[in-house]
Amino acid sequence: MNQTLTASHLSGFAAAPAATLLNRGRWTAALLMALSVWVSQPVLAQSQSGSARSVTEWLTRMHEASRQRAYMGTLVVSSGSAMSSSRIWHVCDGTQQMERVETLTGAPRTTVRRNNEVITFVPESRTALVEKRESLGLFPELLRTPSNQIPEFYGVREGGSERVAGHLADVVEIVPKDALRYGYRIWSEKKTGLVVKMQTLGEQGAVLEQVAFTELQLDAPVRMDKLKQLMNDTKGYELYKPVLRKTTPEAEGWRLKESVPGFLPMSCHTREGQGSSTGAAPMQWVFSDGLASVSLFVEPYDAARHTQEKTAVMGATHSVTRRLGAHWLTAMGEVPSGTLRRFAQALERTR
Amino acid sequence: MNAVQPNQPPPGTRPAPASPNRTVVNEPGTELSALIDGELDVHELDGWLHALGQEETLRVQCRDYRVISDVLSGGSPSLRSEPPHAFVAGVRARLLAEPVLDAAPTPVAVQVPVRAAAANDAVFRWKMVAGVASLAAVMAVSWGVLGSAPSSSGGVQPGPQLALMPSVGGAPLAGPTQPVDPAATTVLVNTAQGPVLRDVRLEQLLAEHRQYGGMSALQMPAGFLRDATYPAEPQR
Repeated sequence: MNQTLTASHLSGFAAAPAATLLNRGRWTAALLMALSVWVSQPVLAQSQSGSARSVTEWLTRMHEASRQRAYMGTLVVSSGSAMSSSRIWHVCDGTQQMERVETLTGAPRTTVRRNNEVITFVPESRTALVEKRESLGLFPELLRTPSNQIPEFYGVREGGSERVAGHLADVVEIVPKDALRYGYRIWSEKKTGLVVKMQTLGEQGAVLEQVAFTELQLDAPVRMDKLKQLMNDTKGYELYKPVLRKTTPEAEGWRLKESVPGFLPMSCHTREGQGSSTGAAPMQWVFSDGLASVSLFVEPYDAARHTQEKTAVMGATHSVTRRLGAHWLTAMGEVPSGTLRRFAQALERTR
Repeated sequence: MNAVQPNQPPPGTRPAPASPNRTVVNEPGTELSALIDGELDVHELDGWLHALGQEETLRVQCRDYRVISDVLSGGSPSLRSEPPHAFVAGVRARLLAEPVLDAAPTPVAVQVPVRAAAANDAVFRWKMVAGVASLAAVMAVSWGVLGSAPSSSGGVQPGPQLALMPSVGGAPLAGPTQPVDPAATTVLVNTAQGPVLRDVRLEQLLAEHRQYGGMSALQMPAGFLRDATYPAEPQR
């Protein structure tokens, strides 16, 4: 793709001036040609103007696929040295979508989702966790609004076709434009656009984390009524409903003295009942650049527990801890640790 | 010296050939020893030879003495030793004849790893080298563990673990005056990949980040499935 882009660029910008210079001397033209190729490559990497679809169009297509198709398959997730897999059932009827995820690795667990309502059954402890996840209902509406700043910080590069889980897929690379975020390589099923494989890429294209279907049946006979039945069948399970208290950073006495480029505040809350054993409940302030998200957890400093500032990493998820006076910050997200340190340096107490 | 009585077999089953020079004539071992050492006179020898021709046990005994004599004199036995099966049978027979020393119940079988001593086991300088290497290994491990895990206790949560490393940006806050935490959240867990430091609190926050922090356009097509596939249980 890169070569095609370079050729088109040459025909548009460099080839014409080169032709006029041919009379003056072949060597000058050749030099200019070489120079234009050298200059054009980084420019093209930034603009990605040759891609058939823009980054927003690709992301919208992937979203639509999950909203309109039914499928079942086996998914494998590899992060750091850990690898886990699950069985997936997905169904939709145009207005709502339902999903069932049954873990095949570790303790048995079944997660059933209806739009942004999620219930997780843990058969071993006979407990079920009932939640509402705002993040699931946020996109793709956000992609259509002016606040979608993904194209500003990410480019897109199409990389041909490859077969994944028996399906031919377009390889799409989402390339970050600065070092504050990671890139993604996504395999999008050719006909439907469904994401069949995704890699999170670190520096120099190193794969930090990946998720892929090893087996996938599109348009599978998944019945929504059966999934609904499963979701409602909580008999014999002890139900837990975490209570999130919405708040604002201002109300909690925090602000960012300097914003981190591309990252916008998305939500802020505390969790009730969590602080009983660990002190007061931490505030979770969530930021996102549209693809990567960062959580800032702030809790009262406890000398016994918060003994050492450190960074940690698992796959693409980093965390950085820092003491801020009487508080303890844990910044966490699928971003380089340098980005988290920028957040840690920018966060300050307002009272 | 008294003449040997050829018709009287040597000791063991019959009276030993007498010799006035010997004080313990009745002991078959002494007579036999004298025979082997070539100290018997002709008559005594005749008597012994006659006895040897008739008594199997005496022949066996005589051969044993001869082998012992040869071994003690430093040479290889001139006589062929017993065939292995005969030797083993003899050992077994003697073991069976041994009295039972203790009537205690059958001891419980305990598997003890047995390993032959190293070829350089007896060389002291090698033990010194091994000692220094062990000390260095212990120091290296301790350095790493103490560097990132000031204390350890608490429960272990299932799920992926976070690899810990010292902060790049700031110095450690823990000073010698701060109390050691009895309920710290860092635990050392043995895994198939070796011992791994796990921060239970950090894993809780990681689960919360995945539950409520996944603000991404990729969440619906892939992120949610990925998070639900991780073996870590979501936070209640």
